[in-house]
Amino acid sequence: MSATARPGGGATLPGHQPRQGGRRDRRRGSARRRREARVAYLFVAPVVLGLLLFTAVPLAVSFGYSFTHWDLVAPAPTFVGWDNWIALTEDPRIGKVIWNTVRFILVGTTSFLLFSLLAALLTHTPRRFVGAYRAALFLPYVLSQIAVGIVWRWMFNSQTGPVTLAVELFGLDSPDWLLDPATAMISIAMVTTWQGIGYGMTLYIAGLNGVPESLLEAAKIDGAGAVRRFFSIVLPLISPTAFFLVVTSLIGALQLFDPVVAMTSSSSAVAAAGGPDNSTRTIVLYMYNQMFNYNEQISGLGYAATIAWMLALLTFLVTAVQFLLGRRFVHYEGAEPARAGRRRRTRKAAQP
Amino acid sequence: MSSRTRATLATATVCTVLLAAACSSGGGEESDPNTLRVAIWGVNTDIASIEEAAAGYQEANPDITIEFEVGDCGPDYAACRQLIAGGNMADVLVTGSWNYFDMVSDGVLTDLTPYLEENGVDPADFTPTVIEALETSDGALHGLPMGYNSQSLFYNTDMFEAAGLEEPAADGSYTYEDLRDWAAKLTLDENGNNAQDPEFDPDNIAQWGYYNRIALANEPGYGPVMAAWGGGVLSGEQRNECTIDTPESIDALQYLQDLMWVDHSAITPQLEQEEPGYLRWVNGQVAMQQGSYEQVSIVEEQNPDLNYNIAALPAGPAGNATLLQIHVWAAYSGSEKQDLAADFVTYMSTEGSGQQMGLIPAYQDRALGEDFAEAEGAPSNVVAAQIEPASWPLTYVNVDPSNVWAGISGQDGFGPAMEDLISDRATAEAAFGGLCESTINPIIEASGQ
Repeated sequence: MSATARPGGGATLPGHQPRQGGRRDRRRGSARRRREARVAYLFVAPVVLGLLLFTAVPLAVSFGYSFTHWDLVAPAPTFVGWDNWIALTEDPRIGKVIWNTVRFILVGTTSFLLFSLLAALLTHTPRRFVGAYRAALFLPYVLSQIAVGIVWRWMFNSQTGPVTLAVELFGLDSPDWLLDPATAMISIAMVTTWQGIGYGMTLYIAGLNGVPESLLEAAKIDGAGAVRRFFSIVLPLISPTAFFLVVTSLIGALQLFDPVVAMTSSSSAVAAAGGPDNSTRTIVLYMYNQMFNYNEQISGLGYAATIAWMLALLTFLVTAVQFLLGRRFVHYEGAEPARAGRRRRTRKAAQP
Repeated sequence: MSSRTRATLATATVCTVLLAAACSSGGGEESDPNTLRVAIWGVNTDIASIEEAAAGYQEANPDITIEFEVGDCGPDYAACRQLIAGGNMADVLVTGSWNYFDMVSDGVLTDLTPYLEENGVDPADFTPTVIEALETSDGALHGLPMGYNSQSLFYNTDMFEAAGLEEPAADGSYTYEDLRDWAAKLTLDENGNNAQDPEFDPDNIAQWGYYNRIALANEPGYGPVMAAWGGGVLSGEQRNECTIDTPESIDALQYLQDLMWVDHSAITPQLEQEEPGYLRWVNGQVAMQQGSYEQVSIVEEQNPDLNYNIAALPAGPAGNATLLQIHVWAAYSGSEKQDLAADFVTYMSTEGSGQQMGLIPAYQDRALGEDFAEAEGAPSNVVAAQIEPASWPLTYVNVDPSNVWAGISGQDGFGPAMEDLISDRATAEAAFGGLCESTINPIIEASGQ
């Protein structure tokens, strides 16, 4: 270790000898460091305490609940061992809800990432009214998902909705958007994409602004066309931004709930959401329904907690895979990608 | 320990205590023994009507304070569960026939039977269909009726007159075939052709003949029609025998689908999504709708100039039928003020009953007096259309003594079949045929019934 950071800010540099002031000075210095450490601990205590109380403890408690059955009405949960976890593996509906979530990711997350990038490419260079375009694209992001869902529910009305009428204007047959199992999830994905584009665009613009103009100019002089410049220079340099968006949007997609409830509930009952024909019932919606639908023997808080933990593990797994892939595909300026660096080092070592 | 260290530790302790205090639910608070917390719900007029009814109790008991808490606990059992788990449940609540037995089986509601005897309240003083629906298999009552609503036919008298049709008989002495015929004649396209005219344009309808809540996949919509055909989703005393795929049920469901998609005379789910069908009736776009008495107050508020009346629902192949939904006063079994809560519940459903949430009072003959039938603004046919159908043999209450309704009516039950039916993706036979064996019975069996 070249330098040791200490609580309180003191650091001992290599080669630096403490002043030869005798035992008394050393004791005084040590006491001061202890005092400073205590003050430092005091400053971080609220954050650590909050983290423990509001994150670590609920996590541990929810994991504990996954081994219990509780309908919230009984005075206390009943310990049921691994029953909930076994039930999860035998639940015939869990495959369907995971598949529904994956379908949303395939359509919704992919289109969000692509259209955000497209919006950023179209608006990152200063031109007339670009600020207004950006504001218009960002505006939906600040709206409530429920409000947006309700409005789009009307927009998708398959007889009189503006989307339907727009499709019919081109002489095409409009689908039954939210009433057809084939198109309901796609419709929800379209809405979440529309709402999220502004956020993705803003981050991509920040990434695009960090691309050195000199590199693009040099590539242009070397004869690289716009497409080549985009794929060989721009895309690698904004890959950290894209990676961040991929990770966070996937985590968000795995937690899809509000738009589904707003767009598929009949008579605003959450229990009725997830249709038509279960085609939009996502993992979180299923978890919610299991939490509050006690009409089956295996349901309630315990089973909902088990589903929540399954979702957490799934999220962790997906994120871990993304980080592994990120090592290969994400380019951090000033840092060599791990594999490329290793390959280069190997090649160097093999040279005579 | 230095003074600074002590100060540091003291500050940290205070922070911890404050954080812990912020996290506590406050469930340990002792409440005032003379304060009764009452959970209520509904629109502003509903809330006001309950508070007005409770004023009599407060007048008679000046030492008691009633605290009303408006929320979702009552119509939505999940909201009550959260309050119970958080140790914050009110002493008294208003539940509904649709989830009353769910609460009873969980032990959430106090058994009021001993209190009734003590207070001299005779269950025979209530409308028989209503009070019997709330009795458990051992005859216990865990709640008392605030009142009930009944499904009737609300019709626009101007539209009937313009079409040259006689108004429906107030006592329900007409049939669903008559209703179908009227619905077609009352449905007009933008050129004024009715739905029986060969020139009728179903893509440009200006006035619809009929609205039924089946467009919302809602039991108060399809339930009475299925019952009039001699079918239903569930049957049996405990409502745990699946009958949704009997020929009678399927015929009734097919009838409703045909009104929407063959005759084009009824509001479809798509139209419902755009603007609720009952509002279309209130606004004068629909000639007839099946609905409950709350329509009267909605018309008063939103379109007082609407000329309308009510008739009892028509007869199907099996006879006349309607659906009753009861709002129930109940005491929370975990309350420390059991006597006070039971006393208040008894008052509100007996002496203080009437004019609460716009319901038909179930106590004695109050429904026939100023509290309902003779109230200002009540339609002229209200007795025949709203009160008398409660005694029809096929009339039923949407209680769920076996606690299976949520499971069988949702996406795991007949929900997808109902969506297929109302969206015209499948006929009633294709959507519901064999559904009991394949889907509903396993859910009922899994629930232990």
